[in-house]
Amino acid sequence: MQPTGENMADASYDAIVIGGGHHATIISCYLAKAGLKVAVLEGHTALGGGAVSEEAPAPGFRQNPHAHFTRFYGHPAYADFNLREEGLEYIFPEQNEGMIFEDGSSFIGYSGYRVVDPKTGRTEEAPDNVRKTYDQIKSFSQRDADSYLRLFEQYQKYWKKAFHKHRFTAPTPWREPDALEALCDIPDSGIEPVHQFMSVRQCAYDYFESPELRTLFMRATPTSGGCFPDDAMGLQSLVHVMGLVLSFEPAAIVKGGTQSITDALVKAGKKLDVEYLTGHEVDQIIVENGAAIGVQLARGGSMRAPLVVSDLGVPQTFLRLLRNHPIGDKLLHRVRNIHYDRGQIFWGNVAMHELPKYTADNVNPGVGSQPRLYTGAKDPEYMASRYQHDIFLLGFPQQPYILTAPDSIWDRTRAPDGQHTILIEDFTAPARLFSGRDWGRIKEEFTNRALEEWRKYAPNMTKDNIIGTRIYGPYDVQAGKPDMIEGGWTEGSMFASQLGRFRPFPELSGFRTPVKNLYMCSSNLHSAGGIGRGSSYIAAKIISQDRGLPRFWESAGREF
Amino acid sequence: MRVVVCLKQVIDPLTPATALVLDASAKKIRGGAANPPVINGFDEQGIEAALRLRETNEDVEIVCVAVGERFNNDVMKRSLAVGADQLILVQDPSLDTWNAYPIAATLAAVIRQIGGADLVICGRQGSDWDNGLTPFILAEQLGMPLLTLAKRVSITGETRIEIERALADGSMTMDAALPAVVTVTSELGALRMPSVSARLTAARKQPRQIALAELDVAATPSPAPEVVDLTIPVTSRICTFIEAADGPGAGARLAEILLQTGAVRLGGER
Repeated sequence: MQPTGENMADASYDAIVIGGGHHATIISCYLAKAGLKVAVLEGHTALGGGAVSEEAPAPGFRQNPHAHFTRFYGHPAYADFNLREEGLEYIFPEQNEGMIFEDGSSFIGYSGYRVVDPKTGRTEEAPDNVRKTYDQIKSFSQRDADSYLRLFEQYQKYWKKAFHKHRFTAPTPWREPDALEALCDIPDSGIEPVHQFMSVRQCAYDYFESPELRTLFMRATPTSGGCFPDDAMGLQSLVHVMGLVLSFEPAAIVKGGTQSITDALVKAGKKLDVEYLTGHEVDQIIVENGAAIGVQLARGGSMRAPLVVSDLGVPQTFLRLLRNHPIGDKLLHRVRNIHYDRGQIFWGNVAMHELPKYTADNVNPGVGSQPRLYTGAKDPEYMASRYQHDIFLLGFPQQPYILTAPDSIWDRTRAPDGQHTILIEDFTAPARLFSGRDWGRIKEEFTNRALEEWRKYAPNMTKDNIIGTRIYGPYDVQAGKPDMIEGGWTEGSMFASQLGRFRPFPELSGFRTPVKNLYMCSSNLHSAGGIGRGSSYIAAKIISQDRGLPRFWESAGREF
Repeated sequence: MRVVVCLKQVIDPLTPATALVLDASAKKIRGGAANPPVINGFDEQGIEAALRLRETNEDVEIVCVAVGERFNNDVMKRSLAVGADQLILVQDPSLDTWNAYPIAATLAAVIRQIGGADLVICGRQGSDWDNGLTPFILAEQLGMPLLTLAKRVSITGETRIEIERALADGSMTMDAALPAVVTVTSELGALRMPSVSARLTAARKQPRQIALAELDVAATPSPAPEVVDLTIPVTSRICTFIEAADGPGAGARLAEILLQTGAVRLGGER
């Protein structure tokens, strides 16, 4: 039965945020700073969604079960709420991405930008590092080395700024270019109109000639956006991935694990009197005369507020919370057809006594301690044509391409003294493609194969060196995170037709909803999945504009 | 020597209860498209028993046979990936039944049509309904001796079968002349993992499909038992929030309530 306003308590909040995920912890701060009395209602016991850490895979170790690679120092909230003062600290190694190939050769990317002020994350160009990366690439391709220099110039001149603006700005209407699309009109930007529609493979082959960079580009793309080689990646992913593959940006290690982001945001929120109510699952949104006026709680009772913001995904918001307020056949049809079959990973940590000793380190010193290090065959043809095929058929690729991230080198809170913990990742299939029983088997098989593969590159990675492993797969993820449908971290595939003004589909990409006073702020909308992306910040701006609240971005002197 | 392993496709026992749907009118439980089915776990152990026989008897041909309403071929082809020589599927809406008789009769008809079997291996029961009737009816239909609950199966002297039968406090060794029907139990051990290349090869193979109409299936004796009703236990939750000034106070109050309501009893009381 649809609850009515009669059984509700008196209004006690100016705004209710449904769900206590990452974006709820951001938008609640902005709304509270605007003077609103805000309640965040989380059904589970933990806040922060994908921005959490846990004690694993063994006592004394710290693992990020969801998001691991974050750059929250680049989010406007970092400065707006003095999050460094609240304990959110980053460490910046001067290398970023690298790859060791089966034949023993390797590639080290040195950060094109160096962080000169760790407090703000302010960077400056690092010509010495650019030269070193150039030399690395030149050792296998003069053409790609020249492309690298040209792309770095274009990144400096156009891409970096446009990418940042795009991330934190609402999508523009159709026919009005957004910050990245505008680059297509600049002749020397390095981005042409056709790049908007190219697949990952096409981009890899268009920008590079070497099997080294083609392989790395196609393998690194799913890590950043979930796209497989035949997906049209869109400009957002293209710019993002290029910045990482060529190490334009420095690596960033968050001290204490991803949980530190949530802890700092919640500390800031509490200072602004945000109330975080865990164990408060919202059952449905109460709507009267076409406007949201509060929420009904699953535990009984209701809460009223003149502003309701859903941090849950579009399917949960419309199919569950608004189940008594159908939004029309076409919209419902599209909600049910949002594509979720990307971003499924085997993901977890391996705790160990000593760091892997890569044989490639003897030839190319330092490659073994790249913050993001891939290993695998120098085989772009396999990546291009069979990687996804194998994954959907077997649950893992026949030729493994393991990503490792040895954060405990830089952040000693992650492991006990003298020991280390390394994140590992490779891609897998949507949860529904295998039974629960098979997922158990496939995960075990993946773990064994990954460790075996690791030993090929670092012979000391024997069982004796391993203290423990904890690997999660899509089946585990979807059980605990209802917005990560099919167990993928992207919360809706992040390919061109589901990004920007099309995310998750055109009619619901604007953060407002057909229900008055109800807004959305989750990563199901632009700028998509990943910690520190822009959806909640953009939602806060739109709400401020609609309600005449202070224009916080202007008072901070920001263009967006 | 031909070993036939009978397989059943069942709802994955690991499917979360919230994903199961009770179709009250059809009196069926459905797992939903998001939760692929599995080969009945006991039947997988039947495949493992057959594979072990082949390790010691080179001429063993393994034929897996499954009958049911509709199959997920990717799931059933796991039998080919681990080493079965052939997979035969009989799909027909009438085979979506709780009644073991037509299932066993169809299995028997398939076995007869392919020229018989020296040994038929079944799981001890299906993990969906736990009736455990099919092997009994099948043995009757095929006119073969039935040996149940094997945790080890071996062929002795090429014409006889010997099993070690799992008992609660020990084991029993039984022997029979072939052909025979054997049921296996979980003590036999889990089905081996197929290699990646075997899985890829299996993915390209197709199961052999036999239409029910092509088989000479014995008539089901009537009256057959009927399912009258099917229900899921209704569980309810009453949530009480304990009011107390602090943690220790709340703990003490919780202990009081648990004792008062009889939810826990102090040591010695039963």
